[in-house]
Amino acid sequence: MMGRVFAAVFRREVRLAWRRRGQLLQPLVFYALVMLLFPLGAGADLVLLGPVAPSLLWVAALLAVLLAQGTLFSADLEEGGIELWVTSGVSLGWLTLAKLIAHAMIVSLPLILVGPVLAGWLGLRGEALWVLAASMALGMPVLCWIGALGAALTLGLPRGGILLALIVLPLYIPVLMFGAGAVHAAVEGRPADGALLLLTGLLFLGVSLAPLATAAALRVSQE
Amino acid sequence: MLEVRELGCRRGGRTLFENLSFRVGAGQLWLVRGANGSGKTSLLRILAGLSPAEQGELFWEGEREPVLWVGHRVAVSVDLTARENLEFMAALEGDEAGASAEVLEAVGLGVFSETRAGRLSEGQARRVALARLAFSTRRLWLLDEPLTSLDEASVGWFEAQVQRQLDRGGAVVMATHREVSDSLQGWALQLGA
Repeated sequence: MMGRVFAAVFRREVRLAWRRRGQLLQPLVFYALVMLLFPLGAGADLVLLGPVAPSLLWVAALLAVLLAQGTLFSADLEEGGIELWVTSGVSLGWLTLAKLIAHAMIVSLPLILVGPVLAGWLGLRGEALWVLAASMALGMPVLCWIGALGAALTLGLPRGGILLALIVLPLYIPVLMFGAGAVHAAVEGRPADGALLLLTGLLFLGVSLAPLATAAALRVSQE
Repeated sequence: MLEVRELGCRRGGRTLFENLSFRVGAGQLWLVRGANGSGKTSLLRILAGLSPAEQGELFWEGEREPVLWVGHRVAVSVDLTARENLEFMAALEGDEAGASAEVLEAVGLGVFSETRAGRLSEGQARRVALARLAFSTRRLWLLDEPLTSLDEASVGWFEAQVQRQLDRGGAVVMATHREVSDSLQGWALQLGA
């Protein structure tokens, strides 16, 4: 039964994301705009852009993910969906895990696909592009899950968006450091394995802890 | 099934109810009544496990069971169709087959099954939520103002589901301002008296 419930939540989230695709496009459009406008502002000088490109790609991706977090649970709260989950008798952590995995996939996948394309615009070539894609595939879900925890903690609060940013931005720093660090290493011809392994560790830590912590925050939001 | 002992609730520095004790047994209908703000919703939320009990205790016969909860907010997503909403609710109860076309037909929503809930009226959206009653096997139903915005035909269908639940040994605790038909024999719980 647990597998069927997981599949039902996952299917529901993907379906809702498709029906609300305007919201889905916001982080992607933001990311593309930053990546396209920044080089224009810097005079399209690849020598100047080269050293900062990995950090820029990662900071813009981080902020794009943050943009997608504010409304993650707001419709569920307004419509009574969280009440339905809490009273369903199914583990709230399990339901949250399904939602968070779907959310990470929906938000991260477009950014991971577009990231290397935009990186070419900033002058990244060869192995650095593969390392960027790998680091984003490992790091973006972690950013989504940290953001989801922040969204659950600030659910229903007035001006929760500012509080959300204050809560999650410090937690984003390790992911940013390892993600950008991996791409920097690849650009400079150094091995990126260490940073990628650390991101993998954060991914496993995130998938283990984030659903439980987010579920606890959702339960508190009902009291 | 469920025994409530010395339950008390305060909201915003005001006591809504205190020393409330009653026992919900198999086959019983409890009608919770009272003026707006008297604590009907708060009581039902405590029974559903959505809010903690500040005073008093709840005792379940055996292990605590999941309940069927239909609150003010009916948990119907405006971006999903009536059928998709009902299928999701059924999946959470472990009975995906329960969300059949016949159920939506029975609540008068057969022609709206592929209509997004955001385009349904308030009463129709509530009927989507209440359609769960047709296949729910939960022993205790907690319903907060379930008759709001329902037409007479839907009220008739709803009362038939409540009767079926009572006949099979389940229990219903329901907050309502409306009168139910004489055929439904219930215990009254007056709050704010």
